[in-house]
Amino acid sequence: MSRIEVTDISKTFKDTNALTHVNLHFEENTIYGLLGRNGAGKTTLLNIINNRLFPDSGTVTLDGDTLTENTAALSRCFLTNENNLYPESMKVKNAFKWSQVFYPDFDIDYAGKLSKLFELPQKKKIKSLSTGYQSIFKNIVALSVNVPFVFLDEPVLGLDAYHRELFYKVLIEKYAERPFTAVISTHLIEEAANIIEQVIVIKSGQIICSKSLEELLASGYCVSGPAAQTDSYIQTKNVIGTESLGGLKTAYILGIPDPDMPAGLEISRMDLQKLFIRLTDMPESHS
Amino acid sequence: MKKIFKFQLKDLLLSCSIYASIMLLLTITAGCVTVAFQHEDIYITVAGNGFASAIFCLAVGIGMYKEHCQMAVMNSVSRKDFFKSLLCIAVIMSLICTLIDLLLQLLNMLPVLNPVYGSDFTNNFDILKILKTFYPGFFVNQSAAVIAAAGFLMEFLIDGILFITGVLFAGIYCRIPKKYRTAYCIALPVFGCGFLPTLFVAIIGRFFYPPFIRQLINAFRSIMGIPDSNPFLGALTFAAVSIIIASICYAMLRRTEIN
Repeated sequence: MSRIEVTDISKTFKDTNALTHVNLHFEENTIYGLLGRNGAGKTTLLNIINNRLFPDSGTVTLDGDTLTENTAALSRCFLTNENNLYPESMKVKNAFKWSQVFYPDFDIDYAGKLSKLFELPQKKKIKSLSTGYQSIFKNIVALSVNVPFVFLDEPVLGLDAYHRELFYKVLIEKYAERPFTAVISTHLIEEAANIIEQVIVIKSGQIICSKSLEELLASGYCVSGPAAQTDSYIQTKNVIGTESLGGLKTAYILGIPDPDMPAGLEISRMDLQKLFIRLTDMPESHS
Repeated sequence: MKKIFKFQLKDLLLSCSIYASIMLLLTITAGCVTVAFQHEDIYITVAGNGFASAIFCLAVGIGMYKEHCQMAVMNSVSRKDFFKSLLCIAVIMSLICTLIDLLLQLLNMLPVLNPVYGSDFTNNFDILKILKTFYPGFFVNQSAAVIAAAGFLMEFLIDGILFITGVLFAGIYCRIPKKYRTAYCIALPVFGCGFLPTLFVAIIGRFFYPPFIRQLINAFRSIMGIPDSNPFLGALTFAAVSIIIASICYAMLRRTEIN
Protein backbone atom coordinates (compact mmCIF):
# COMPACT_ATOMS: atom_id res chain seq x y z
CA MET A 1 0.00 0.00 0.00
CA SER A 2 1.39 3.38 -1.04
CA ARG A 3 1.44 6.13 1.51
CA ILE A 4 2.38 9.80 1.57
CA GLU A 5 3.93 10.83 4.84
CA VAL A 6 4.14 14.50 5.82
CA THR A 7 6.56 14.91 8.72
CA ASP A 8 7.04 18.04 10.79
CA ILE A 9 6.43 20.49 7.94
CA SER A 10 6.72 24.19 8.75
CA LYS A 11 6.47 27.10 6.34
CA THR A 12 6.68 30.83 6.94
CA PHE A 13 5.88 33.68 4.54
CA LYS A 14 7.63 36.78 5.87
CA ASP A 15 6.02 37.17 9.29
CA THR A 16 3.12 34.74 8.71
CA ASN A 17 3.34 31.18 9.93
CA ALA A 18 1.51 29.35 7.15
CA LEU A 19 2.21 25.88 8.54
CA THR A 20 3.57 24.87 11.93
CA HIS A 21 4.95 21.37 12.53
CA VAL A 22 2.37 19.60 10.39
CA ASN A 23 2.34 15.80 10.63
CA LEU A 24 -0.12 13.67 8.67
CA HIS A 25 -0.32 10.88 6.16
CA PHE A 26 -2.41 9.92 3.15
CA GLU A 27 -3.22 6.27 2.56
CA GLU A 28 -3.89 4.70 -0.82
CA ASN A 29 -7.40 4.54 -2.28
CA THR A 30 -9.10 6.89 0.14
CA ILE A 31 -10.99 10.14 -0.35
CA TYR A 32 -9.78 12.82 2.01
CA GLY A 33 -11.42 16.14 2.75
CA LEU A 34 -8.94 18.83 3.66
CA LEU A 35 -10.98 21.45 5.46
CA GLY A 36 -9.95 24.79 6.82
CA ARG A 37 -11.00 28.40 6.83
CA ASN A 38 -9.51 30.96 4.45
CA GLY A 39 -5.78 31.33 5.07
CA ALA A 40 -5.62 28.20 7.23
CA GLY A 41 -2.76 26.78 5.12
CA LYS A 42 -4.57 24.21 2.92
CA THR A 43 -3.12 25.41 -0.39
CA THR A 44 0.36 25.86 1.09
CA LEU A 45 0.25 22.29 2.40
CA LEU A 46 -0.83 20.88 -0.98
CA ASN A 47 1.78 22.98 -2.78
CA ILE A 48 4.52 21.68 -0.49
CA ILE A 49 3.45 18.06 -0.94
CA ASN A 50 3.57 18.54 -4.71
CA ASN A 51 7.00 20.24 -4.80
CA ARG A 52 5.68 23.65 -5.82
CA LEU A 53 6.74 25.29 -2.58
CA PHE A 54 9.65 24.34 -0.37
CA PRO A 55 9.10 23.81 3.36
CA ASP A 56 11.28 25.67 5.84
CA SER A 57 11.66 22.38 7.69
CA GLY A 58 10.27 18.85 7.56
CA THR A 59 9.92 16.21 4.87
CA VAL A 60 7.31 14.78 2.51
CA THR A 61 7.82 11.19 1.39
CA LEU A 62 5.99 8.73 -0.82
CA ASP A 63 6.72 5.16 0.21
CA GLY A 64 9.89 6.37 1.90
CA ASP A 65 11.15 8.34 -1.12
CA THR A 66 11.25 12.09 -0.81
CA LEU A 67 8.77 13.97 -2.98
CA THR A 68 10.90 17.11 -3.03
CA GLU A 69 12.67 17.41 -6.38
CA ASN A 70 12.12 13.74 -7.19
CA THR A 71 10.60 13.38 -10.65
CA ALA A 72 9.99 9.65 -10.31
CA ALA A 73 8.03 9.99 -7.07
CA LEU A 74 6.28 13.19 -8.17
CA SER A 75 4.97 11.49 -11.31
CA ARG A 76 2.70 9.44 -9.01
CA CYS A 77 0.98 12.60 -7.78
CA PHE A 78 -1.05 15.30 -9.46
CA LEU A 79 -2.21 18.63 -8.05
CA THR A 80 -4.76 20.92 -9.57
CA ASN A 81 -5.43 24.31 -8.03
CA GLU A 82 -7.01 27.61 -8.91
CA ASN A 83 -3.87 29.04 -10.57
CA ASN A 84 -3.58 28.43 -14.27
CA LEU A 85 -0.02 27.40 -14.96
CA TYR A 86 -0.54 26.38 -18.59
CA PRO A 87 1.15 28.46 -21.33
CA GLU A 88 -0.82 31.48 -22.54
CA SER A 89 -1.55 30.12 -25.98
CA MET A 90 -2.24 26.48 -25.11
CA LYS A 91 -5.57 25.05 -26.19
CA VAL A 92 -7.59 22.53 -24.20
CA LYS A 93 -7.00 19.67 -26.66
CA ASN A 94 -3.25 20.37 -26.71
CA ALA A 95 -3.17 20.39 -22.93
CA PHE A 96 -4.75 16.91 -22.99
CA LYS A 97 -2.13 15.74 -25.49
CA TRP A 98 0.74 17.09 -23.39
CA SER A 99 -0.76 15.59 -20.23
CA GLN A 100 -0.51 12.24 -21.99
CA VAL A 101 3.20 12.90 -22.61
CA PHE A 102 3.86 13.80 -18.97
CA TYR A 103 1.58 11.12 -17.52
CA PRO A 104 1.71 7.96 -19.66
CA ASP A 105 -1.48 6.59 -18.03
CA PHE A 106 -3.45 9.71 -18.96
CA ASP A 107 -6.67 8.52 -20.60
CA ILE A 108 -7.22 10.94 -23.48
CA ASP A 109 -10.43 9.21 -24.59
CA TYR A 110 -11.88 9.53 -21.11
CA ALA A 111 -10.85 13.22 -21.06
CA GLY A 112 -12.65 13.69 -24.38
CA LYS A 113 -15.72 11.92 -23.02
CA LEU A 114 -15.78 14.12 -19.93
CA SER A 115 -15.29 17.24 -22.08
CA LYS A 116 -18.46 16.34 -23.97
CA LEU A 117 -20.30 15.59 -20.74
CA PHE A 118 -19.31 18.96 -19.22
CA GLU A 119 -19.64 20.74 -22.59
CA LEU A 120 -16.05 21.92 -22.40
CA PRO A 121 -14.93 23.46 -25.73
CA GLN A 122 -11.71 21.66 -26.64
CA LYS A 123 -10.64 24.09 -29.35
CA LYS A 124 -10.56 27.10 -27.04
CA LYS A 125 -7.46 28.45 -25.34
CA ILE A 126 -7.34 27.59 -21.64
CA LYS A 127 -6.77 31.22 -20.65
CA SER A 128 -9.92 32.28 -22.51
CA LEU A 129 -12.17 29.89 -20.57
CA SER A 130 -14.40 31.25 -17.82
CA THR A 131 -13.46 30.53 -14.19
CA GLY A 132 -15.99 27.71 -14.07
CA TYR A 133 -14.80 26.08 -17.27
CA GLN A 134 -11.17 26.45 -16.18
CA SER A 135 -12.11 24.48 -13.06
CA ILE A 136 -13.89 21.90 -15.21
CA PHE A 137 -10.85 21.60 -17.49
CA LYS A 138 -8.49 21.09 -14.54
CA ASN A 139 -10.84 18.56 -12.95
CA ILE A 140 -11.02 16.60 -16.20
CA VAL A 141 -7.21 16.48 -16.37
CA ALA A 142 -7.09 15.42 -12.71
CA LEU A 143 -9.62 12.64 -13.25
CA SER A 144 -7.88 11.39 -16.40
CA VAL A 145 -4.23 11.30 -15.23
CA ASN A 146 -4.65 7.94 -13.49
CA VAL A 147 -2.00 8.42 -10.82
CA PRO A 148 -2.32 7.01 -7.30
CA PHE A 149 -2.56 10.42 -5.57
CA VAL A 150 -4.69 13.28 -6.89
CA PHE A 151 -4.92 16.56 -4.99
CA LEU A 152 -7.86 18.81 -5.83
CA ASP A 153 -7.60 22.30 -4.41
CA GLU A 154 -11.00 24.01 -4.61
CA PRO A 155 -12.18 21.80 -7.50
CA VAL A 156 -15.65 23.34 -7.64
CA LEU A 157 -14.50 26.96 -7.69
CA GLY A 158 -16.83 28.89 -9.99
CA LEU A 159 -18.97 25.84 -10.86
CA ASP A 160 -22.75 26.11 -10.89
CA ALA A 161 -24.87 23.66 -8.89
CA TYR A 162 -25.44 21.39 -11.91
CA HIS A 163 -21.75 21.08 -12.72
CA ARG A 164 -20.84 20.63 -9.06
CA GLU A 165 -23.22 17.71 -8.75
CA LEU A 166 -21.97 16.26 -12.02
CA PHE A 167 -18.37 16.57 -10.87
CA TYR A 168 -19.02 14.69 -7.62
CA LYS A 169 -20.93 12.01 -9.54
CA VAL A 170 -18.09 11.55 -12.03
CA LEU A 171 -15.53 11.51 -9.21
CA ILE A 172 -17.40 8.75 -7.40
CA GLU A 173 -17.82 6.73 -10.61
CA LYS A 174 -14.14 7.08 -11.40
CA TYR A 175 -13.19 6.14 -7.84
CA ALA A 176 -15.41 3.04 -8.00
CA GLU A 177 -14.03 2.00 -11.36
CA ARG A 178 -10.35 2.67 -10.65
CA PRO A 179 -9.66 3.56 -6.99
CA PHE A 180 -7.12 6.24 -6.17
CA THR A 181 -6.45 8.69 -3.37
CA ALA A 182 -8.23 12.00 -3.78
CA VAL A 183 -7.49 14.85 -1.42
CA ILE A 184 -10.20 17.46 -1.81
CA SER A 185 -9.73 20.88 -0.34
CA THR A 186 -13.00 22.76 -0.37
CA HIS A 187 -15.17 25.30 1.37
CA LEU A 188 -18.40 23.64 0.27
CA ILE A 189 -18.36 21.09 3.06
CA GLU A 190 -21.99 20.00 2.90
CA GLU A 191 -21.60 18.85 -0.72
CA ALA A 192 -18.25 17.15 -0.23
CA ALA A 193 -19.38 15.45 2.98
CA ASN A 194 -21.21 12.81 0.95
CA ILE A 195 -18.02 11.53 -0.65
CA ILE A 196 -15.36 12.15 1.98
CA GLU A 197 -14.03 9.16 3.93
CA GLN A 198 -11.34 10.85 6.00
CA VAL A 199 -11.43 14.40 7.32
CA ILE A 200 -8.42 16.58 7.98
CA VAL A 201 -9.13 19.93 9.61
CA ILE A 202 -6.44 22.56 9.47
CA LYS A 203 -6.53 25.73 11.52
CA SER A 204 -3.92 28.49 11.55
CA GLY A 205 -1.35 26.19 9.96
CA GLN A 206 -1.89 23.31 12.39
CA ILE A 207 -3.76 20.04 11.97
CA ILE A 208 -6.44 20.04 14.66
CA CYS A 209 -8.25 16.92 13.53
CA SER A 210 -7.51 13.93 11.31
CA LYS A 211 -10.15 11.22 11.61
CA SER A 212 -12.55 9.16 9.55
CA LEU A 213 -15.82 10.95 8.83
CA GLU A 214 -17.82 8.45 10.86
CA GLU A 215 -15.48 8.71 13.82
CA LEU A 216 -15.57 12.49 13.66
CA LEU A 217 -19.34 12.73 13.45
CA ALA A 218 -19.70 10.19 16.27
CA SER A 219 -17.46 12.30 18.48
CA GLY A 220 -20.22 14.79 19.11
CA TYR A 221 -23.93 15.46 19.01
CA CYS A 222 -26.43 18.31 19.01
CA VAL A 223 -28.94 19.00 21.74
CA SER A 224 -31.81 21.37 21.13
CA GLY A 225 -34.76 22.49 23.13
CA PRO A 226 -35.99 25.35 25.33
CA ALA A 227 -33.09 27.61 26.30
CA ALA A 228 -33.37 27.12 30.06
CA GLN A 229 -33.46 23.31 29.79
CA THR A 230 -30.62 23.24 27.29
CA ASP A 231 -28.47 25.49 29.48
CA SER A 232 -29.08 23.30 32.46
CA TYR A 233 -28.19 20.12 30.49
CA ILE A 234 -24.95 21.44 28.98
CA GLN A 235 -23.48 22.73 32.24
CA THR A 236 -21.36 19.62 32.74
CA LYS A 237 -20.74 18.92 29.05
CA ASN A 238 -17.90 19.76 26.69
CA VAL A 239 -19.73 22.37 24.65
CA ILE A 240 -18.07 23.57 21.49
CA GLY A 241 -20.76 26.04 20.53
CA THR A 242 -24.34 27.18 20.91
CA GLU A 243 -26.96 28.80 18.72
CA SER A 244 -30.12 30.53 19.89
CA LEU A 245 -33.27 31.26 17.95
CA GLY A 246 -36.13 32.82 19.89
CA GLY A 247 -36.63 30.72 22.99
CA LEU A 248 -34.92 27.70 21.47
CA LYS A 249 -31.29 26.87 21.90
CA THR A 250 -29.05 24.36 20.17
CA ALA A 251 -25.80 23.22 21.74
CA TYR A 252 -22.97 21.36 20.01
CA ILE A 253 -21.38 18.95 22.39
CA LEU A 254 -18.33 16.72 22.17
CA GLY A 255 -18.81 13.28 23.67
CA ILE A 256 -21.43 10.53 23.75
CA PRO A 257 -25.08 11.44 24.46
CA ASP A 258 -26.59 10.33 27.78
CA PRO A 259 -28.90 7.31 27.50
CA ASP A 260 -31.55 9.11 29.52
CA MET A 261 -32.10 12.54 28.10
CA PRO A 262 -34.22 15.06 30.02
CA ALA A 263 -37.70 15.47 28.59
CA GLY A 264 -38.12 18.31 26.12
CA LEU A 265 -34.60 18.03 24.76
CA GLU A 266 -33.91 16.54 21.38
CA ILE A 267 -30.71 14.87 20.25
CA SER A 268 -29.54 14.99 16.68
CA ARG A 269 -26.43 13.90 14.79
CA MET A 270 -23.84 16.59 14.29
CA ASP A 271 -23.28 17.40 10.65
CA LEU A 272 -19.82 17.94 9.24
CA GLN A 273 -20.25 21.59 8.34
CA LYS A 274 -21.52 22.52 11.80
CA LEU A 275 -18.76 20.52 13.45
CA PHE A 276 -16.20 22.15 11.18
CA ILE A 277 -17.49 25.63 12.00
CA ARG A 278 -17.43 24.88 15.70
CA LEU A 279 -13.97 23.28 15.61
CA THR A 280 -12.45 26.17 13.71
CA ASP A 281 -14.34 28.69 15.79
CA MET A 282 -13.02 27.45 19.10
CA PRO A 283 -10.14 29.24 20.83
CA GLU A 284 -6.68 27.71 20.30
CA SER A 285 -6.62 26.08 23.78
CA HIS A 286 -9.88 24.18 23.08
CA SER A 287 -8.96 22.89 19.64
CA MET B 1 13.78 14.93 -18.34
CA LYS B 2 12.79 13.56 -21.75
CA LYS B 3 9.17 14.67 -21.37
CA ILE B 4 9.87 18.33 -20.63
CA PHE B 5 12.64 18.31 -23.25
CA LYS B 6 10.13 17.11 -25.85
CA PHE B 7 7.75 19.91 -24.84
CA GLN B 8 10.45 22.58 -24.94
CA LEU B 9 11.89 21.33 -28.21
CA LYS B 10 8.53 21.46 -29.95
CA ASP B 11 7.98 25.03 -28.76
CA LEU B 12 11.52 25.99 -29.78
CA LEU B 13 11.25 24.51 -33.25
CA LEU B 14 8.00 26.37 -33.82
CA SER B 15 9.52 29.72 -32.83
CA CYS B 16 12.72 29.07 -34.82
CA SER B 17 10.78 28.13 -37.95
CA ILE B 18 8.71 31.34 -37.71
CA TYR B 19 11.88 33.42 -37.20
CA ALA B 20 13.73 31.71 -40.08
CA SER B 21 10.72 32.15 -42.40
CA ILE B 22 10.51 35.88 -41.64
CA MET B 23 14.24 36.43 -42.16
CA LEU B 24 14.27 34.35 -45.31
CA LEU B 25 11.27 36.19 -46.67
CA LEU B 26 12.83 39.57 -45.92
CA THR B 27 16.11 38.64 -47.61
CA ILE B 28 14.46 37.16 -50.68
CA THR B 29 11.96 40.03 -50.98
CA ALA B 30 14.76 42.61 -50.78
CA GLY B 31 16.75 40.71 -53.41
CA CYS B 32 13.77 40.28 -55.72
CA VAL B 33 12.83 43.98 -55.47
CA THR B 34 16.40 44.96 -56.29
CA VAL B 35 16.53 42.58 -59.26
CA ALA B 36 13.13 43.71 -60.55
CA PHE B 37 13.72 47.45 -60.24
CA GLN B 38 17.48 47.83 -60.75
CA HIS B 39 16.93 49.53 -64.14
CA GLU B 40 15.05 52.25 -62.22
CA ASP B 41 17.91 52.68 -59.74
CA ILE B 42 15.95 51.16 -56.86
CA TYR B 43 18.16 49.05 -54.60
CA ILE B 44 17.02 47.38 -51.40
CA THR B 45 19.21 45.47 -49.00
CA VAL B 46 18.26 44.10 -45.62
CA ALA B 47 20.43 45.87 -43.08
CA GLY B 48 21.01 45.14 -39.45
CA ASN B 49 20.20 41.45 -39.41
CA GLY B 50 23.75 40.50 -38.46
CA PHE B 51 22.84 40.22 -34.80
CA ALA B 52 19.18 39.40 -35.29
CA SER B 53 19.77 35.77 -34.28
CA ALA B 54 21.56 36.81 -31.11
CA ILE B 55 18.74 39.16 -30.12
CA PHE B 56 16.21 36.45 -31.03
CA CYS B 57 18.03 34.05 -28.67
CA LEU B 58 17.82 36.61 -25.84
CA ALA B 59 14.11 37.15 -26.46
CA VAL B 60 13.36 33.41 -26.58
CA GLY B 61 15.34 32.86 -23.37
CA ILE B 62 13.29 35.55 -21.62
CA GLY B 63 9.99 34.37 -23.11
CA MET B 64 10.19 30.64 -22.61
CA TYR B 65 11.52 30.43 -19.05
CA LYS B 66 8.45 31.24 -16.98
CA GLU B 67 5.87 29.27 -18.95
CA HIS B 68 8.09 26.24 -19.37
CA CYS B 69 9.16 26.24 -15.74
CA GLN B 70 5.52 26.37 -14.62
CA MET B 71 4.58 23.65 -17.09
CA ALA B 72 7.42 21.46 -15.81
CA VAL B 73 6.65 21.88 -12.11
CA MET B 74 2.91 21.48 -12.71
CA ASN B 75 3.54 18.20 -14.48
CA SER B 76 5.71 16.76 -11.71
CA VAL B 77 9.09 17.44 -13.32
CA SER B 78 11.78 18.43 -10.83
CA ARG B 79 13.55 21.74 -11.26
CA LYS B 80 16.82 19.85 -11.74
CA ASP B 81 15.42 17.91 -14.71
CA PHE B 82 13.93 21.10 -16.11
CA PHE B 83 17.32 22.79 -15.91
CA LYS B 84 19.03 19.88 -17.69
CA SER B 85 16.45 20.15 -20.45
CA LEU B 86 16.96 23.93 -20.56
CA LEU B 87 20.70 23.47 -21.13
CA CYS B 88 20.06 21.05 -24.01
CA ILE B 89 17.61 23.57 -25.47
CA ALA B 90 20.23 26.35 -25.16
CA VAL B 91 22.71 24.31 -27.20
CA ILE B 92 20.12 23.38 -29.86
CA MET B 93 18.81 26.95 -30.01
CA SER B 94 22.30 28.40 -30.51
CA LEU B 95 23.08 25.83 -33.17
CA ILE B 96 19.87 26.47 -35.09
CA CYS B 97 20.28 30.26 -34.93
CA THR B 98 23.92 30.05 -36.04
CA LEU B 99 22.87 27.88 -38.97
CA ILE B 100 20.04 30.29 -39.88
CA ASP B 101 22.49 33.19 -39.84
CA LEU B 102 24.97 31.23 -41.96
CA LEU B 103 22.23 30.47 -44.46
CA LEU B 104 21.21 34.13 -44.62
CA GLN B 105 24.82 35.19 -45.12
CA LEU B 106 25.22 32.70 -47.97
CA LEU B 107 21.96 33.95 -49.50
CA ASN B 108 23.14 37.54 -49.27
CA MET B 109 26.28 36.58 -51.16
CA LEU B 110 24.34 35.21 -54.13
CA PRO B 111 25.06 37.47 -57.08
CA VAL B 112 21.48 37.15 -58.25
CA LEU B 113 20.19 38.69 -55.00
CA ASN B 114 22.97 41.23 -54.73
CA PRO B 115 23.63 42.34 -58.31
CA VAL B 116 24.49 45.94 -57.57
CA TYR B 117 27.28 45.64 -55.03
CA GLY B 118 28.49 42.12 -55.79
CA SER B 119 28.98 39.15 -53.51
CA ASP B 120 31.57 40.88 -51.28
CA PHE B 121 29.17 43.54 -50.15
CA THR B 122 27.26 43.49 -46.95
CA ASN B 123 26.18 46.42 -44.86
CA ASN B 124 25.53 44.17 -41.89
CA PHE B 125 27.77 43.82 -38.90
CA ASP B 126 28.13 40.09 -38.89
CA ILE B 127 30.20 38.21 -36.35
CA LEU B 128 32.99 37.56 -38.86
CA LYS B 129 33.44 41.29 -39.44
CA ILE B 130 33.71 41.89 -35.70
CA LEU B 131 36.26 39.09 -35.43
CA LYS B 132 38.29 40.67 -38.23
CA THR B 133 38.40 43.93 -36.26
CA PHE B 134 39.62 42.32 -33.07
CA TYR B 135 41.77 39.51 -34.47
CA PRO B 136 43.28 40.87 -37.71
CA GLY B 137 46.34 38.60 -37.52
CA PHE B 138 44.18 35.51 -37.40
CA PHE B 139 42.57 36.41 -40.72
CA VAL B 140 45.98 36.82 -42.35
CA ASN B 141 47.55 33.61 -41.06
CA GLN B 142 44.69 31.11 -41.15
CA SER B 143 42.94 29.28 -43.96
CA ALA B 144 39.38 30.17 -45.01
CA ALA B 145 38.06 26.96 -43.43
CA VAL B 146 39.59 27.73 -40.01
CA ILE B 147 38.33 31.32 -40.18
CA ALA B 148 34.82 30.10 -41.02
CA ALA B 149 34.98 27.56 -38.18
CA ALA B 150 36.11 30.25 -35.73
CA GLY B 151 33.27 32.53 -36.88
CA PHE B 152 30.74 29.70 -36.49
CA LEU B 153 32.03 28.81 -33.03
CA MET B 154 31.97 32.42 -31.84
CA GLU B 155 28.45 33.00 -33.12
CA PHE B 156 27.30 29.74 -31.54
CA LEU B 157 28.72 30.79 -28.18
CA ILE B 158 27.36 34.34 -28.38
CA ASP B 159 23.88 33.00 -29.18
CA GLY B 160 24.19 30.57 -26.27
CA ILE B 161 25.30 33.29 -23.84
CA LEU B 162 22.41 35.51 -24.88
CA PHE B 163 19.87 32.69 -24.52
CA ILE B 164 21.14 31.86 -21.04
CA THR B 165 21.22 35.59 -20.20
CA GLY B 166 17.56 35.79 -21.25
CA VAL B 167 16.81 32.88 -18.93
CA LEU B 168 18.70 34.67 -16.16
CA PHE B 169 16.70 37.89 -16.67
CA ALA B 170 13.43 35.97 -16.57
CA GLY B 171 14.63 33.92 -13.59
CA ILE B 172 15.44 37.07 -11.61
CA TYR B 173 12.02 38.46 -12.55
CA CYS B 174 10.29 35.36 -11.21
CA ARG B 175 12.26 35.36 -7.96
CA ILE B 176 12.00 39.02 -6.97
CA PRO B 177 8.96 40.21 -4.99
CA LYS B 178 6.06 41.43 -7.16
CA LYS B 179 6.35 45.04 -5.97
CA TYR B 180 9.87 45.32 -7.44
CA ARG B 181 9.03 43.75 -10.82
CA THR B 182 7.98 46.94 -12.60
CA ALA B 183 11.12 48.73 -11.43
CA TYR B 184 13.20 45.76 -12.60
CA CYS B 185 11.55 45.77 -16.05
CA ILE B 186 12.31 49.48 -16.44
CA ALA B 187 15.81 49.35 -14.99
CA LEU B 188 17.02 46.45 -17.12
CA PRO B 189 16.67 48.09 -20.58
CA VAL B 190 17.75 51.47 -19.19
CA PHE B 191 20.89 49.84 -17.84
CA GLY B 192 21.55 47.64 -20.90
CA CYS B 193 20.65 50.08 -23.67
CA GLY B 194 21.30 53.40 -21.94
CA PHE B 195 23.84 53.27 -19.17
CA LEU B 196 26.23 50.65 -20.56
CA PRO B 197 26.54 52.18 -24.08
CA THR B 198 26.99 55.63 -22.53
CA LEU B 199 29.72 54.30 -20.25
CA PHE B 200 31.34 52.57 -23.23
CA VAL B 201 31.33 55.76 -25.30
CA ALA B 202 32.62 57.77 -22.34
CA ILE B 203 35.54 55.37 -21.93
CA ILE B 204 36.33 55.23 -25.68
CA GLY B 205 36.09 59.03 -25.92
CA ARG B 206 38.10 59.34 -22.68
CA PHE B 207 35.47 61.56 -21.05
CA PHE B 208 35.49 59.06 -18.24
CA TYR B 209 38.78 57.31 -17.81
CA PRO B 210 39.68 56.41 -14.22
CA PRO B 211 43.17 54.92 -13.70
CA PHE B 212 41.98 51.34 -13.24
CA ILE B 213 40.21 51.29 -16.62
CA ARG B 214 43.44 50.69 -18.54
CA GLN B 215 44.24 47.61 -16.42
CA LEU B 216 40.66 46.44 -16.85
CA ILE B 217 40.79 46.84 -20.62
CA ASN B 218 44.16 45.09 -20.79
CA ALA B 219 42.87 42.21 -18.70
CA PHE B 220 39.80 41.93 -20.92
CA ARG B 221 41.95 41.98 -24.05
CA SER B 222 44.18 39.25 -22.61
CA ILE B 223 41.37 36.88 -21.66
CA MET B 224 39.78 37.45 -25.07
CA GLY B 225 43.09 36.59 -26.81
CA ILE B 226 43.16 39.92 -28.68
CA PRO B 227 46.93 40.69 -28.30
CA ASP B 228 47.76 37.20 -29.68
CA SER B 229 45.06 37.41 -32.39
CA ASN B 230 43.64 34.16 -31.03
CA PRO B 231 39.81 34.02 -31.28
CA PHE B 232 39.78 30.54 -29.76
CA LEU B 233 40.91 32.02 -26.44
CA GLY B 234 37.97 34.42 -26.77
CA ALA B 235 35.72 31.42 -27.46
CA LEU B 236 37.03 29.75 -24.32
CA THR B 237 36.21 32.90 -22.33
CA PHE B 238 32.70 32.94 -23.79
CA ALA B 239 32.27 29.28 -22.85
CA ALA B 240 33.40 30.03 -19.30
CA VAL B 241 31.00 32.99 -19.08
CA SER B 242 28.15 30.73 -20.32
CA ILE B 243 28.92 28.22 -17.58
CA ILE B 244 29.01 30.95 -14.93
CA ILE B 245 25.67 32.44 -16.06
CA ALA B 246 24.13 28.95 -16.27
CA SER B 247 25.30 28.22 -12.71
CA ILE B 248 23.68 31.43 -11.46
CA CYS B 249 20.47 30.43 -13.31
CA TYR B 250 20.46 27.03 -11.61
CA ALA B 251 21.12 28.56 -8.20
CA MET B 252 18.02 30.69 -8.71
CA LEU B 253 15.88 28.02 -10.31
CA ARG B 254 16.45 25.38 -7.64
CA ARG B 255 14.65 27.48 -5.02
CA THR B 256 12.01 28.96 -7.31
CA GLU B 257 8.54 28.44 -5.88
CA ILE B 258 5.49 28.06 -8.12
CA ASN B 259 2.07 28.83 -6.74
